[in-house]
Amino acid sequence: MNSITRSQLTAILLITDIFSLICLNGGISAWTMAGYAVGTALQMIVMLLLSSVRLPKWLSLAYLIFFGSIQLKRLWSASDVTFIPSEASSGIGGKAMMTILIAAVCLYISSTGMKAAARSASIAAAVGVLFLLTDLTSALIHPDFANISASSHCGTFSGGLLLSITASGLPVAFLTLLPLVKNGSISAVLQYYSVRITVCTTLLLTTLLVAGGIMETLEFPVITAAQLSQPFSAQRIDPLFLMLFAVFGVFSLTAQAMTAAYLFREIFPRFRKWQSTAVIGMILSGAAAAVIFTGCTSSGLVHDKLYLRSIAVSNDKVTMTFFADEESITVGSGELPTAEKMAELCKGKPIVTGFTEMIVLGDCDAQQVLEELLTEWKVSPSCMAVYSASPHDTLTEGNAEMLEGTVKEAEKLGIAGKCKITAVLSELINKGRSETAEINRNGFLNKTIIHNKSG
Amino acid sequence: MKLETSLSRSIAEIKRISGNSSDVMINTFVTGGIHCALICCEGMVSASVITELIFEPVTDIPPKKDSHELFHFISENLLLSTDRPTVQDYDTLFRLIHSGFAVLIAENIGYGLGFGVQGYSARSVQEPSGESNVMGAHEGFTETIRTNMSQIRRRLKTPELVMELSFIGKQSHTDICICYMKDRVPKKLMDRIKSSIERNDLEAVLTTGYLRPFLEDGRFEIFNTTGTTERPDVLCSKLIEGRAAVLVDGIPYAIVIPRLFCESFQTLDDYAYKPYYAVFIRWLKYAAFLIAMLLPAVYAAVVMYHPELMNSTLMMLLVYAEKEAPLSILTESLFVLTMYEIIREAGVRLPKPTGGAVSIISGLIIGDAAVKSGLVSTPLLTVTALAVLSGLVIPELSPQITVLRFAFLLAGGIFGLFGISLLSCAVLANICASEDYGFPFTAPFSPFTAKGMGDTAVRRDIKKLQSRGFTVEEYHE
Repeated sequence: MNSITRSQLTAILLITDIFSLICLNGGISAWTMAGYAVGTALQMIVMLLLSSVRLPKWLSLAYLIFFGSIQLKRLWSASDVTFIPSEASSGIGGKAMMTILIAAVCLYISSTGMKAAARSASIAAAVGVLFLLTDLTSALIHPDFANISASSHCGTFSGGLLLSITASGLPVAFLTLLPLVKNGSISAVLQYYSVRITVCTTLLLTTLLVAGGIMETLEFPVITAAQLSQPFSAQRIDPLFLMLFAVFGVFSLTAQAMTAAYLFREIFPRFRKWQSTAVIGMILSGAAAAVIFTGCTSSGLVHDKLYLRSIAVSNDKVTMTFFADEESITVGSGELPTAEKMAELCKGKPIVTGFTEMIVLGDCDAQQVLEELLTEWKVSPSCMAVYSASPHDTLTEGNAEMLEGTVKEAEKLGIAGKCKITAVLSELINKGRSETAEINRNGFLNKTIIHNKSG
Repeated sequence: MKLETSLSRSIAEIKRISGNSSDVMINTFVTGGIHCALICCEGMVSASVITELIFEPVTDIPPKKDSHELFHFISENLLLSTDRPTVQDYDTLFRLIHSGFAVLIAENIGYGLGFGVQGYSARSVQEPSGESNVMGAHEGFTETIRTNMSQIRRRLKTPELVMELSFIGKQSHTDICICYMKDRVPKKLMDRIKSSIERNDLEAVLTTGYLRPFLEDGRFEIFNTTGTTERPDVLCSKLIEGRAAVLVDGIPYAIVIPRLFCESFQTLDDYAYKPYYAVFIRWLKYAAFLIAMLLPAVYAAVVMYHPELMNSTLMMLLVYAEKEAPLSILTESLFVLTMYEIIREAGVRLPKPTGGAVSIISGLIIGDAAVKSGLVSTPLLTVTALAVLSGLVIPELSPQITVLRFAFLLAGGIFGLFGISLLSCAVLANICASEDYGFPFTAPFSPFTAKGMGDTAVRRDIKKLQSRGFTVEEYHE
């Protein structure tokens, strides 16, 4: 029989736990984190008592297929916000292709056997934890502990207790794989649950530190926190998070598929050759109604796009300036999706918004505009949000580089307030108003206060 | 078929089996009153040795009663060579004369005496071409198995070192030698290796690639779970760690069993330098491996799908550079990599006189004309050059890196970082599934062994490494 070590068992299951938290939908708070930790500790105590229990194989198989379907659905739901792939070309064909690719990789991994899958899961888990530590480190470099209290109303302790069960599902996979561990059940239980408490609460803490101030507006807080925690202000690293998401998604599915395949073989020994295929087929069938993926249709040419540098927004107009000496454009719509389409139509090229460095707010609903730019346009987390009485003239007549430079200097000198988009948005959400810099075409003017309603 | 007792019928049979081959020399003479014949292969024996050590003493024997007494006298009283096998059948006779032996047969006796008088031309011991190092020995294996055996024996003067000679290949009867330290290698492992070799039904063994598939698992594995080395010092270090080796006559490489993934990043030079430098070089190799495999793919994926990963200055640089290029990044990358592989293969295969011309043409075509014409952009060429150079740091993994580089490029170019992630998962699973003779290929990384990190992630002091008494059996599952 295949045997695995306790570390390998911990790695397989930890990947599922982390992936479930990554796909977490809805707000969290420090109470949620505490509830999660306590819930996990209670589960550890229960498992210590039930470690020798053997669940009925039929029931375990059915549950693992069900939970695998849930994981696949979560992956689909979260994939839209993690740029899989980066160009949004929706369609059933694209989503189906992505699903087939993931299923094929899961099928291959689970067909290599329990030991091989466990070994590769250990390596993937180690690399993943390293990524997460990088996120935590960058969050701790400029920590904003006020974010923890700012999100206190977004989750409850009982919600955290429930999350500790629903996120990772019942410990069916754990109990199924526990007899295969060669170092002893009790030590395996202790190791797995203690690592789970440590890693998962660290993940939740990182999320609170980074995105606690804007928790109310977030659909996937952990993903957004990973996207926002940038160690370097000059460059983003959130697409690297995509790799972590993809790898953990694959191994999370593989853990369910591999364990289910093992049970399938035990129940139907005549069909052992088809164990992995059958299980993955059942998981796919179970998740057939889930959200479809975006496809990939990049033309592969990098110079045929416009890279947005700064944007000025008011109720009736939007002005955009670009990198690479492109002329600025003003479109007559205050609605951002419409403005984007109109600008692309006028310029004849798609607009990439990930490099945006400055947002100039005029007469508009600042909170709504900033929320949309952050969550839909995915502007750079180091982007500045400032105010101008005549935002469009400021951008068209002023020099974008000079404007950004004066604001940064003013911020350093402490005379501009916090201008980062996340800081401004956090204040708008929690206090209804925020300090930021006011600029005109000649540069920084003074500190001003903006409100979250128009006017 | 057993040897005939009649000398004339034996000679006739030898001629028939060899098809009257011109290089089979049969010298008949009388010694001790008995008719005899000395059979050897022209070009395989040393004429001076055979004259001095065989003909002169053998033709000077006093009369004997019969052939048995003659052979007994020769065996007991005349030390004609150190290697004196007995020949009972024609298969053994031909195998021996084709290996440079001379075989003496006589009238009225059903066996022959072989004498090792090899004198064929062979390459002398030279510096290994593929595994050079700075601080170690500059001797490599040669095509002669006995020379290779002596090189190992010279370095490991212990009676624990066992060398078992046999032969394989239905037509070639190639000599092979299994070497191992009997106090470090379990008998079960040796039995499995021997049965793996015996189950081959090859007609000839002309390169290590013929034999290795029989020593490895039948499943599809990207990386080889048996290693090869051209260096006797490296082989000795493997033998001390409890591995077995197979030497094959005619091939200047030894096959090492088992092999672990981390060994591709270890060289003997690592142990000649200070630990801090050795650790630096080792991590450089790990990074070079990842760069060689992933850099073109990550470049294509980032530029095409995830431009936010670059800072704005770098991004604009690429935009200006790619403005003139008519092809997509993926197509450009595939083109450049394919051109490189063609040039590399041409450089390996072509005759030396034309080597200079290829270098000039390849430099002009790719380095100059392609960039100036705008067919290929300079950043892409730089990325490809870096990846290719990094692959040369670990020549042992060159075939795998080459193919995986293309696979990752396609995955990254079509599906972005997502595609690279998926393919990485599949490759990782394949590497972790590689396991022969119970040794996981990814040990000591997975399953993780903290003690193993002392010579993998870092290179501890030699005193600590030696005192540990490490054998590869520690990783056996």
